[in-house]
This record gives sequence, structure tokens and C-alpha cells, in this order.
Amino acid sequence: MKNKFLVILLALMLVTSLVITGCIPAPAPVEPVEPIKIGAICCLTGDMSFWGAGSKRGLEFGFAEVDWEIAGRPLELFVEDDATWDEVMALEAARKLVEVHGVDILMGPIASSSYLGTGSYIDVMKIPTLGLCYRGEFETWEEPTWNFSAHGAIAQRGYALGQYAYEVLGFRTATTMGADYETGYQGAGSFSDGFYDAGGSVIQQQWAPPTEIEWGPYNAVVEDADCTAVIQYGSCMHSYIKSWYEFGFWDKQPLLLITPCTVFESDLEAFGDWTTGLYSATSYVTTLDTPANQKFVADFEAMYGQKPIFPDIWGYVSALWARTMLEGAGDDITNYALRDALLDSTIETPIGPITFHGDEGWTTIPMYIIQAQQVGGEMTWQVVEAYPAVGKAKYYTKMPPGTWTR
Amino acid sequence: MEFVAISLLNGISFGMVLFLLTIGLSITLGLMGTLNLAHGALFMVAAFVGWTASVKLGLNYPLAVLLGGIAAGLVGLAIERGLLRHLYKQLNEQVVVTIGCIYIITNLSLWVWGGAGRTPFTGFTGSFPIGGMMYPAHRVATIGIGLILFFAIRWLLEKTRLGAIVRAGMDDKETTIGLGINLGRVTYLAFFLGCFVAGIAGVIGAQMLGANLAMGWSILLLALIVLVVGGAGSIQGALLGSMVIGTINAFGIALVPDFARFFMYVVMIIILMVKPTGLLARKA
Repeated sequence: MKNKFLVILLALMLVTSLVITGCIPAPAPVEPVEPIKIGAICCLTGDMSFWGAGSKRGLEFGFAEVDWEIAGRPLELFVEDDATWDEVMALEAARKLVEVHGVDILMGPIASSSYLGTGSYIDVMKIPTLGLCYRGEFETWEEPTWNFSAHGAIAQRGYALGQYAYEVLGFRTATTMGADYETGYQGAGSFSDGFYDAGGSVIQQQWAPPTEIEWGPYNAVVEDADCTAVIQYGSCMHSYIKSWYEFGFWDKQPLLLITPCTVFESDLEAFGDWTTGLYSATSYVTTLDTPANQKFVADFEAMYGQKPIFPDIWGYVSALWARTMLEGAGDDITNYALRDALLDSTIETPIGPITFHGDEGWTTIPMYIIQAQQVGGEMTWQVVEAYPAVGKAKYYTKMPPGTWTR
Repeated sequence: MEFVAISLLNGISFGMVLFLLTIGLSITLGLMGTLNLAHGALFMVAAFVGWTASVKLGLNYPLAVLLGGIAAGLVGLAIERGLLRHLYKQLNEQVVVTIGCIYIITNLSLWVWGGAGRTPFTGFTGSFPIGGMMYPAHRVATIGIGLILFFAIRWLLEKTRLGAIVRAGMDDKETTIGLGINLGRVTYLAFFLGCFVAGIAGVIGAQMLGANLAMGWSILLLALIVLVVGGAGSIQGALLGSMVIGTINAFGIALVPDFARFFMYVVMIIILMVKPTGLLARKA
């Protein structure tokens, strides 16, 4: 009996020692899940700081929809400022995001100067980078690069507006006013091309620096035409619109905005109801009458207490692209896997379906002709014509006045 | 003829905004040897204050102009009392500190008014015909306001005891103080006046430019060109310089747009070579 007790005691001691020394596996400790890091270069200060704030909101809204988690891994968003036009700050921001935070995907930057300042670095570092706005700079790919224009180009808008101006509005002659840098050339050039292809004639092209503050001298020599198409940004666009009205051109030579992206509905309201009837071309307006957009606007308003503006939607769509890349890449979120997940993919957005063409680095995107209208006592942008899928655009360079008379 | 008339009006009206902005720079540089590069930022603050008063609060336009001027004057005074009075005769330090002030003021404005620019606003609506074109009434009003302020400031500096002290301080600071005059008080009054007028320029200029966060820099460069062309310390010089630059800008953009800025700098370089002190610099 005594021996039996000793055997049981020894057996218990043996089992205990085996457990203690690890021969019998204990429950494995939970390893921390590595977050997916996303970096964004936004203009949070400077002339276009409202744009950076909107992009950030849109991104956050897009990632909040999936509770900041994809495939069981948490998402972390790092945002850096580039002071709107400062290419050096933009490059420093990109370096900080890549080299300090180690981001897997980059977003932005927004302004052309920042885009040009960071382009080479992004290609050298091979970081998948999604734009936060349409691009003025046109890039065709010899082979896929790392900078993806997720929202197409200004030329897609300009060409559609040029065609609409001739075919629907019945204008036969036009003048243009373009910002004297790449985006302006693409915008004014594509409008001119669309107008010309439809049968019209552009009789004068004016160019002004993107920081121009005095429009009187330009108005003094503008030639008589059926309409004038303008592409300027921010405060320059506002002061140009006001000067056009004050110099008495508004009724006799209607103004067409090649992009309305810095003329919000609140700006139309501030100008007054004389802006009723103003035309423009864009890929999005809040009044877009589709279930997907109505849900987006309602959800956004519930979260932020305001309707989305252009940078909000484009930030949101960039977040959708990032989600598509991450979901497509699965567990392997290396740069090549992320890029492969993006190429030739289509996403459903409040704008409509957007397709990314891998062979050319190009998006096919819906485009809308919009008009400023007073609805319910408020100035709003309303869709008057829809182009469901606008594809690749041409490349334009600055052209001397008169070129478009051909 | 119509083109010449409109271009002249464009040049004079835009030049008048530059004149109002440059007066303050000219007085402070001439009187105190202080270069306040934050002057453009004061112009911007005043434009936003004017917008708040006129558009948001619905106050009448002259009151908005006054409030814009007072706001710019007070911010300017804070810069002078807080920073610049410690940096007299230290031009490099003044430049660095006042550039820093531009960033501080711009970011404070971003915090207060947000990042979106404000559309141009005016108290002088309507346009009138010149030949086959219309011309905005507020531009002509700008010319009138500029001329009134020119004569008022000239009277203040040349016909009053305060002006005599200011001019004496410009000529011989030590002797003026030796005569028992409290030059410090006069100095910061003059500084306030200069910034106040820059603020008025901000609200007047907002009729054409609106209000935005980039104004602090964009308008400053033109004001410095006017200062160089007209000469520091001279009201007449500031007026002449601004008219020259405004007119070159108006005709240059209209006739040879690609070279308009180039001509402006060419004129500045020629004047610097021929008369380095500017066209009508104040003589001691």
C-alpha cells in the first residue's frame, strides 16, 4: 500500500516537472498583430489647407467604414503636411512617412509642385502611392510605375466640357483662361481640343500665373466670343469669377469652369444668385442622384455634421482604392503584391464605377456636366449631363494664342 | 482709346492698393529703420476681419474697413512692442523674426477662419460703361479712397506737431530725444498708423482679391518692389512707385503677358542702378 502511494506520488512529480520544463506544451502566447501603415501627404496649411483637411476627412471616413481593420490587421493612418505648394516639405513628408513610420501605402500629395517633388523618390523607393485628387500632370506608362492617378486627369473633364459647349450649349467660338503651369495647360488644352473636335473654334488663349491677383488687365484685352472657359484654383478662381461679372462679361460671354473643384456650393452662395446657370465639368457633386451617393452623403453628414466637399469624396475614393489593394493582396502586403492587386481592378463608388487600367496607368471614370442652380433657396451644383465612362485623354502642352483656330 | 482708359484705370486702382500697403512699410523703414516683412500678413488679417464684419456680421462696409485697419494696427503694435523694439538696427534679425511672424499670423488665421479662401466682397456694387465695356465701381472708389488717405497722411506728417516729431525722428533721432521728446511713444504711434493703413488696404484690396491665407506672401513682394522704386520714408515716393508698378503691370499683362513681371523687375533694376535710394526717397 505504501509502495503504491509512493508510485503515484512519483508519477505526479514527474508530470509536474515535465510541465514545468516545457515537455508538455503550455498554451501559446498571443503574438501582437502588425498594423498596416498608411501615410498621407496633405496640405494642412497654406492656400489650399481646406483641401488637405477634406482629404484627411475622406480617408478617415473610408477606413472607419471597415472599423480601421482589414483581414484582421488594424489600419494606422499617418498624416504629414506639405504647406500646399512646398515641394521640399512634401519630399521631407514622404521620407518621414516611408523611412520613419515605415508605411506600406502612400496617399497624395495634392498640389502639382508637391507631386513633382516626390515623384522620383516614390519610384526609387517603390512605394505604392495613390493620388488624393485628379492629376494635372499626365503620365503614360512605359511600364507600371508606383504613382497611381486614382482619379484620372483634368483632361478628361476639359474634353467633355468642350464637347458639351459646342454640341448642347451651341457655342461656336471660345476663349480660354488657363493657369500658367501644367494643370492649366492640360485643362485649357483639353477643353480646346474637345471644342475643336466638335466643330468649334478657340480664338484666344490667355495664361496667368497660378498666384495671379489682378484680373483687370486680362479682361481689358479678352476677345469677343460665344463663351470663355477658365481653369484657375482657389482664391484666383474666386477673384476671376467676380471680375468677369463686374467687367460686364457675365451675360454676353458666359463663363465655363473647366473644374469646379475649388468653387464649392458655399462659394456660389457667397457670390450670390447671379451665378445661376454657371456650367462646369466634374466627376462628383453631392447632389448626384444615385442610392450609393445618397447613402454616402447621409453617412458623411451624420459623422461630420456637414455635407462632403470635393476633397472629401476624393479622399474617400482613395481610401476605397487602398482597401481594394489590401484586400486583393491578402496576407502578402509587399509593394509588388499591392500593385498587382490594383491593376485592372474596378471599384464601386458614390461617383460610379471607376476602373484602373494597368497597362497605361489610367482610370476610366464617370464625368458629369454640372450647372449652378438655386434649389430650395440654396445655390447648388446640379448634374445636367452624365458621361458614364470617360477614358484616356491626350497630352497637351502650352499653346500660343491662336493655335486653336487651326 | 477704350483700351488705354481701362488699362490706366486698372493700373491706378491696383496701384492704389499697393500704395496703401506700402505706406506703412515706408514710414517704419524711414522712421525707425525697421523692416517689417509681416506687413503682408497684416494685410491678410485685415481682409479676413473685414470679411467677418461685412459679410458674416452684416456691418456696413466703411465700418468693416475701419475694423480691419484697427485689427492690423493692433497686431502690428504687438509685433513692435513684443519683438521689433528689441531689434533696432539689426536688419538681419528683423527680417528673420518678421518672416517668422508671417507663419505665426497665417497659422493663427487658419485656426480662426479655416483654410478656405473668402470670395471678394465690396461695399461699392455695380459697374459703369466705358465705351463698349463695363468697369467695376469699387475700383474707382479705391482710387478715391487712396487719394483721400494720401492727402490725409501727408497733412498729418507735414502739417501737424506729431508729423514734425516723426520727421525729426527720421532725420536725427538722438537730437530729437535730447530735446525731451518722447520719441518711443511717437514711434509706436507711427508704427500703429502704418499697420492701420495696411489693414485698410487689406479690406479695400479684398474687393478685388478676396481673403486667403496666401496673401501675406503674394502681396508682400509687390509692396517691396514699390518701396524700392518709390524710395523709403516718402509718402510721395510710395504713391509714385505704386502708380509706376501698377501701370506697368496693367499694360504689361494686356500687351505682352508673358513678360509683364519681367518688365516690373527690369524697371526696379534700372531704378536701383540709376537712383539706388528710389525715385523720391526722403532726404534728411
